[in-house]
Amino acid sequence: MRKRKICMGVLFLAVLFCSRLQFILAEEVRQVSLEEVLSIGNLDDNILFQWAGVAVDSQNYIYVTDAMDYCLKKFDCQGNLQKKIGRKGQGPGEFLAPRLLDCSRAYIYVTDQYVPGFQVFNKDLKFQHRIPLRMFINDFKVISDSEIAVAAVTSDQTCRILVLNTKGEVIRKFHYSEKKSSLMMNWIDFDFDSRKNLYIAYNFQDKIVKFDPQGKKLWSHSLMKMKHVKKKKIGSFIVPCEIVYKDIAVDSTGKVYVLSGEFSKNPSRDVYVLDPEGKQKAALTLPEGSHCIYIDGSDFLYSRAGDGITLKKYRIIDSERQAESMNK
Amino acid sequence: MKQKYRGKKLFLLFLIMGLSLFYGDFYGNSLPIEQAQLIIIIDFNDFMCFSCLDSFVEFCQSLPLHSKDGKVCGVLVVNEADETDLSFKIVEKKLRGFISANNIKFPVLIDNLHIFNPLAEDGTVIILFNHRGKCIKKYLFPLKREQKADILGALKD
Repeated sequence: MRKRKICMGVLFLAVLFCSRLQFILAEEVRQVSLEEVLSIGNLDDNILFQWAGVAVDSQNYIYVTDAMDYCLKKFDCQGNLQKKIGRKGQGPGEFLAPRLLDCSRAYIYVTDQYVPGFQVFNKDLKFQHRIPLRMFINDFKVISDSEIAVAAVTSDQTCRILVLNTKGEVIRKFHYSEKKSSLMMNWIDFDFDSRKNLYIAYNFQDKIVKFDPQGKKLWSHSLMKMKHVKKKKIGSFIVPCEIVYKDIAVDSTGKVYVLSGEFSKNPSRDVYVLDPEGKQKAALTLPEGSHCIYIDGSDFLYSRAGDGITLKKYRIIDSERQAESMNK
Repeated sequence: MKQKYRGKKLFLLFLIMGLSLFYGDFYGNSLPIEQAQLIIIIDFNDFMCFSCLDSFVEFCQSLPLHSKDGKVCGVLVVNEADETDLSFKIVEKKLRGFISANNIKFPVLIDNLHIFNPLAEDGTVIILFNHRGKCIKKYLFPLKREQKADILGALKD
């Protein structure tokens, strides 16, 4: 009888613990929702065919590269096409495969997948000049009108971000890892917060890292709890073939958004939301798979839909953020 | 790289004629497939690999203007597993953008019956018919210089 009572007591405590645990977990990672506020490009128009990169300037103009028609396009905040420039080629204002872009106060910087360096345009999409580089660019962010941070693809497998001036000269270098990695394993996406802290998401490793502006590592986290990605042999090279994280973006409040690769429940759709200390606080799921995410100065999130024929703009609806703004 | 196919021209032409009756090209015209000497079978996967398309685009732009006369025709093949009504429309839109951006003058149709998928197993290919219809050659991209000369020579004849 006494044993039975003990068993019942243990069972009761276990049930209580489990229900509490569920409650705690539910508290820790809340689900954030998205409200679509703009959609650019549909099946019938000829506006976007395969957009690759997006950036938004301080006046809310949206700039998009389109790899299918070799163009750089400018839209107003209503999604109306204002101007486009480009055609296939390697001359000024021409592209083979326009890809990443970012804007400073005065200029738009655009990369080409097959031509190293940048093409620089003014806000009216007039070609200004070219910044030549000897290496291909994996990701970049414009820090100011005079500085660009570049994660370059280097042959020596070093892990570094270069800060360039507008002539393409290296002003300073930042090593985000001392180890030399095997081919492509050092590929990253990165972003800065308003205090110039640097956040890095490795494409082929389960690693998100934060550095302060002096280059001191503040934390490193693994969200997927995995050790290795599959690799395959292509010619004489062994390369990773599964993407862990596709992109990283930081909003104005310092929240970090990490777009998952192939290992999440919803590949290329799940976005993990971390606080500035690297703790996962929330998650959201994009309606469709995307190759990138972008967060503008007003904290709207942009992602891909329709396999690249549509650009979506969303308002992030986060109960915590709303509560914070109410308190303020 | 080059393989010979004998006695298949009629079969292929029949299939393509059937397709053209169903779909036409993007401009709403029926396709003069029966005159085609050159059929380019475009693998949709190559659309995602811009370097794969380079040789193909370069070849298309070197084609003489008479490719408008129906001697050249393109067929885009898509993966069966990926196909839904929406994805078909997306493919159609991308092809429209690709044709316009690369100034492609010959008609291109989409093989959503997947008849040509086996022929595009190795990627985008060219199938060449000689003027007697007795011999068919298959060329894979990227083309060698002499292969390109072969094809352009055959079109001249």
